[in-house]
Amino acid sequence: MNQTIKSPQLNLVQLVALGVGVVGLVLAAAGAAINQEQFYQSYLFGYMFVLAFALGSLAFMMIHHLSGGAWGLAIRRMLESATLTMPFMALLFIPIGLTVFGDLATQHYLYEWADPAVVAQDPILQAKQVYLNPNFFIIRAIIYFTIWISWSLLICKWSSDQDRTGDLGAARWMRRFSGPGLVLYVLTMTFAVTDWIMSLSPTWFSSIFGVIFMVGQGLSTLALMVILLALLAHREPLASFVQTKHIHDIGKLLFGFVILWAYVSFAQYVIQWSGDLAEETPWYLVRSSGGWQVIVWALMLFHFFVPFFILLSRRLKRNVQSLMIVALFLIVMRLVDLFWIIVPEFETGFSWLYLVMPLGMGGLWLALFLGILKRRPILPVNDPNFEEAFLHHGH
Amino acid sequence: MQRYEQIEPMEPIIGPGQTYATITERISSIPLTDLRQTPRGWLVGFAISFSFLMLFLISILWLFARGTGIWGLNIPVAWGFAIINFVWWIGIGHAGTLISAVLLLFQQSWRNSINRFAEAMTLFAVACAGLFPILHLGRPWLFYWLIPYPNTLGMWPQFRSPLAWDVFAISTYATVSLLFWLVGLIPDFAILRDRAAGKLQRQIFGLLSLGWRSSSRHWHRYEMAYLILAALSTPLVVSVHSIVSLDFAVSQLPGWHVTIFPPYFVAGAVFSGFAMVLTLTIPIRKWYNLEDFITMKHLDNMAKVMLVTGSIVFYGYLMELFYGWYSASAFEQFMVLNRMIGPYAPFFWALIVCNGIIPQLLWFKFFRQNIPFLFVFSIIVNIGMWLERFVIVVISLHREFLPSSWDMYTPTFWDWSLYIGSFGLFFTLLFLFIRFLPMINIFEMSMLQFSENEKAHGREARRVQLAGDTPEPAEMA
Repeated sequence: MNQTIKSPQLNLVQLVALGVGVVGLVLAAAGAAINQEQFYQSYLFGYMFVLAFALGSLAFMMIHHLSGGAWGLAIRRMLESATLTMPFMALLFIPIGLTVFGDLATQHYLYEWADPAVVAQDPILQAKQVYLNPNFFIIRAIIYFTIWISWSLLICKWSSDQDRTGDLGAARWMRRFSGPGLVLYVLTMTFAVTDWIMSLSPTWFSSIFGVIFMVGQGLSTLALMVILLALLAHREPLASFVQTKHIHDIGKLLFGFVILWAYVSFAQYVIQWSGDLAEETPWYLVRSSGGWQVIVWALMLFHFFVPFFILLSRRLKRNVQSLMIVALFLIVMRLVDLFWIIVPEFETGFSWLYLVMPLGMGGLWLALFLGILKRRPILPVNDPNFEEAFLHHGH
Repeated sequence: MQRYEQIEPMEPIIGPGQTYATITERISSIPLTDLRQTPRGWLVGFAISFSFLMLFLISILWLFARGTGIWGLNIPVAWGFAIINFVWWIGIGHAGTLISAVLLLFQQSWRNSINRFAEAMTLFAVACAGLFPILHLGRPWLFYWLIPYPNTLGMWPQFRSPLAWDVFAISTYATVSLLFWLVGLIPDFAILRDRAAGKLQRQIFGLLSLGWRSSSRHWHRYEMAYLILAALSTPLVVSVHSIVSLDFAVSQLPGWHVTIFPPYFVAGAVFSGFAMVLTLTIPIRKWYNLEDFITMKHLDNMAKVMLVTGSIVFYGYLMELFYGWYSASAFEQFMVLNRMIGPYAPFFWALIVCNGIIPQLLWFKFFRQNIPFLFVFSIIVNIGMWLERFVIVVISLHREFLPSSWDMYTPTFWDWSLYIGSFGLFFTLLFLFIRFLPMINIFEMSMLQFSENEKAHGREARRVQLAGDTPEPAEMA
C-alpha cells in the first residue's frame, strides 16, 4: 500500500523542467551581466510567482489538517512536497535581501526606502523608517522563513512518521500545529507582502493587499494540484483511491478562489478609486495608463470572467483533463496578475528577463518539487481518516 | 481492529432513539398545541417582547412627530445609533442565509436542524435592520424616492453611491430569504395540515401547503427549486455586507476608508449571526427538549465557524491599526491613537476583548462544548459586534479632519428606546414563529435520520471487516 508514484510522464516533466531551469539560470546570469537593474526587478517578479506554490501549499496543508475531507487526503503528499521546497525558497530570497544594502541600495533597483539619500529628502519615508529599514527588513525575512520552514518540516515529519508507524499521535500533532500555523501564515504573509511588494511604492498602502496575495497563492496552488492529478490520478496507487468526487471538490475550490480573487481585487480597486486620495490613487493611475490598461482588461476577462463561466460547468469540474486546461490557463493568468501588480512600479520598461525569470526559477523549483514528490509515498494510507474517506463509497 | 478502536467516535448529529415517527411527533406537536394549552413561559416571554414592541412604536411615533432632532446626532457625528443598529441587525441576519444556502451547497447535513430557525431569525433581523435607514430619513414618508422610477420631478437616486446599492441589495436579500424560507416550509405545512386536529388549523395549513401531496413529482420540483434558491442566495451572503461596508469605505474618512472592509464586514456579519443563533437556540433547545435535534455536534460546529470568522474580524482590527500607522498620514495615525487612547477608548478596548481575545478560547474543545460558556460567549459577541459598529461610526466621525468641529456624541433616551424597542419587534416575531410554525425542518430531519442509519450500517460493516472476518472490499462498495 505504501507506494511511491511511478510515472514516465512525471519523469519527462521533471527533466524538461530541469532543462528549462538550467537554461533559465544561464540566461539570467547573462541578463545580470547586461543589466543589473532589470535582473533584480524581474527576479522579484519571478520569485513571487514561484513562492506562491510553496506557501499556498503550506496553507492548504494546514487547512486540510483542521477541516479534514477526502480531497485533502488525495493531494496531501503533493502539498507536503511543495512545502518541503521552502528551504530552497529561502535560499532564492538572498539576492532580494541583498538589494537593501550597500551599493545595491543606493542604486535603488527595488526599494527606494533603503537608500539613505532618498529617505533624507522624504518626510513620509522618515516616518516609516522604524519599519522600513534594511536591518529590520532582513530580520523580518528571517522570521518569516524560520516560521515557514519549521512548520513545513515539522508537519511533513509527522506525516512521514505516520506512514512508517501508523501512530495516531502524529495526526493529533499535525492538527495541533496547524491551527497556530495558519494564524502565523496569515500574519507572516501579510507582512511579507507589505515588505517585499507594497514597499516598492513606499507611500502607498492598502490593508487588503496581503489577502489579495494569499488568495492568489491559493489559486496557484490549486491549479498546480489539478495539473498533478491530471498527470497522476490514473496511475496506481492513486487510481484506486482518487474518485471523480475528489476531483470535483478540488474543481469547486478552484472555482471559489477564482471568485475570491475577483472579489478582493475589486474591493481594493473600488475603495481606492472612489476615495481618490493622493496617497492611493497613483497606484492605479500607473497601472491603467501607458499600455497597462490592456492588462487590466485582460485580467478582468481572463482571470475572472472566462474561467468563471467555464468553471460553472459541473461536467467540466468533474473531468480532470479538461480541468487541467483551465488550471494551466489560470497559472498563466497568475503570472499576468503578478506582472501587473509588481512591474509597473519599475521605470525600466519591458525586458526578456521578465519571461526568463519565472520560467527558469519555476523550472528549477518544479524539478526539485517533483524529485521530493517521487521519493515519498504518494498517499497517507495510515491517516486515521483514510479508510473512511476512500473506502466508504457512500452518499 | 485495534486501530479502529482508537479513532475518535463520530459524534451524532441526531440523538439516539429517534425514529421517523418521534421526529415528526416531537416537532409538529409544538405548533399544533391547542391555543388554550400554550405554555405559560411562552406567554410571559411574548408579553415582555410585546411591551418592548410597544416602546418601539412609541419611539417611532415621537420620531415622526418631532424629527431626528430627538436623537443625539449632530455635526460631526451625523451617523449614530440608527446606522449602528442597521449594520448590527443586518449582520445578524447573515447566519440564516449562510446556514441555509452555503452549508446546503457544501452538503453539510448538520445544518438541517437549525436552518429553518436561522432563516426565520434572518427575516426578523432584516425587518429590524431595514427600518433604521428609513427612520433615519428626514422625511420617512418619502422613502419610496429611494426606488428608481420615472417621475415628474425628474429625480433619480445617486447610482454611484453605495447607499443606493444598499436599497437594492437589502430588498433582494429580504425577498430571496423570504422565498427560501417559505419554499422550505411547504412540505412541513402539509405535514401539519395532515396532523391538525381543528378545522381552522387544517384549513390554514392546507392553504399554506399549496396543495402539497408528497408525490414524487412534487419532491423532484421542490428539490430543484430549493437548490436554485440556494445558489441565488449564496452571492447574497457576500454582497449585502460588502455593500454595507462600502457605505463607509468609499468615503475619505480615516477609519472608514479601509480596503480590508468588505471581507472583514462579511466575516463579522457571519460571526454575529452565529452568535445570535447560539443565544437563541441554547435556551430554546432546553425549553422544548430539542437536545436530540440540536446536539453538541451542532454547537461545536457553530463554535468552529465563529472561531474562523472571529479570527478574520480580529485580523481586520489589527490590520486597520497597522496600516493606519504604516500609512504615515497624520490623519490615519491620529485615528489609530484616538481609538486607543481617545475619549471613547474604553469602547475600543472592550471591543478587542469581546471580539478579539475571548473568541480565541474556542480553539479548545473544552470551551466549544461547554454550554453555559457558549451562551455567555454568544452574548459577549453580540455586544462586541455592536461595539465594533460604534467604534467605526462614532470614533471615526467625532474627531475628523478639522479639530474645530470635533465634538462628543451622546445618545439620548430616544436613541436607546428605539434600539431596545427593536428587540421587541425581533422577539415578538420570533415568539410567534416558534409557537405557530415548525421551528425545525421535519422532513429534512427524517431524511437525515435515514442517512445516519445508512452510515451506521456502513460503519458497523467496516468494524466487522477490520476485525478480520468477511466482506471483501469490493462488496463493501
